[in-house]
Amino acid sequence: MKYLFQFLLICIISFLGEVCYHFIPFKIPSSIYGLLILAFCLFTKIIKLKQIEEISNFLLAIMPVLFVPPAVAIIEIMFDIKADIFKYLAIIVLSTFSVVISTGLTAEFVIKRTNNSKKIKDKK
Amino acid sequence: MKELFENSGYFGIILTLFAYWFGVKVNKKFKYTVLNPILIASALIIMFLISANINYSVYKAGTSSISLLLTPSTICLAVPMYKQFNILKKYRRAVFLSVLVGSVCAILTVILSSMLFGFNIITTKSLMPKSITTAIALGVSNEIGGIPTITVMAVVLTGIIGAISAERICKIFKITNPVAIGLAHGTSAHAIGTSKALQIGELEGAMSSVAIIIAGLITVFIIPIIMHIL
Repeated sequence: MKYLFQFLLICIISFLGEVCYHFIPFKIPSSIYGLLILAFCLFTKIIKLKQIEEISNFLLAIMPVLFVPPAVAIIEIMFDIKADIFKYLAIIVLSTFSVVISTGLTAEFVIKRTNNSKKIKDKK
Repeated sequence: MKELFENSGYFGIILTLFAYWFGVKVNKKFKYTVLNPILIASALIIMFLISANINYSVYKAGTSSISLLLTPSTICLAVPMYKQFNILKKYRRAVFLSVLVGSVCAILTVILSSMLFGFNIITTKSLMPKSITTAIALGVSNEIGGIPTITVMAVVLTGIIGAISAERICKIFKITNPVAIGLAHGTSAHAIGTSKALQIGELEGAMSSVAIIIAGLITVFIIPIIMHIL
């Protein structure tokens, strides 16, 4: 019964996500509305963690498997992108490196600044 | 044999589960980030489909029932976010600012370099969500009119490249704070980067896993804004 109820809760939230998607005119996937609804319910204790813990552990564990069918779809477009494969790789490498650098430096800067202002406060 | 495969409700699922299970085994045994389970599994399945002369649409139909679980799984990403709320709250300024800067940077570099290479708009759209976790990236790609299969491949490759290189890049740019290193891993290379960040340290791993979800959410909201401006 426990698993049934947990799965029911997640399915209801999935449906509520679809409802939001239907009525809100933004290009945001319904699963994101669902994620936000579940986060809201957890923080406001409408849903307690233990009421969904097992089902979410299961769903999070199998999630990577669900990416395999869309990845296999590459055979359908393989010939179209074969010529550009190095361009794709170049974009991915360039973009990934710049994300690491920009994220890391920003975080480093913010942490240093908050630490400094704390020190000044402590001295006062 | 071919007919059996085409009519079976389970063969596609068995093939997918087995290939992924095998991919995880290989990954655990050799411990190379390049040997990503999703890459291994899809390569195996592609080889099988080609050698057995089975059309992709048949395979897709056979796996449609498990694909239904993608939305519920994505929703459950709220659970790790809830569990890590304390650490998120403690470093909230660093998290939101750096992940915001990183996510904008990810999208802009893709747009600029795609323009440089003369890629068409659909390919560019497919690459835009490539730094975020696959579940959210797939949703975004569908929503803005990208090709999901390019998105998945780009996401996995991004994860692998980020996981291999992020630590070294941090060293070069003198990014030494564990919080910053973790955020850089999670924002650039989602779950694959996080598994690497966990090897570096506990705080790095925790920050990286926080960054995955925050980067995903921020990207969902800024891609439509950036597309509107352009």
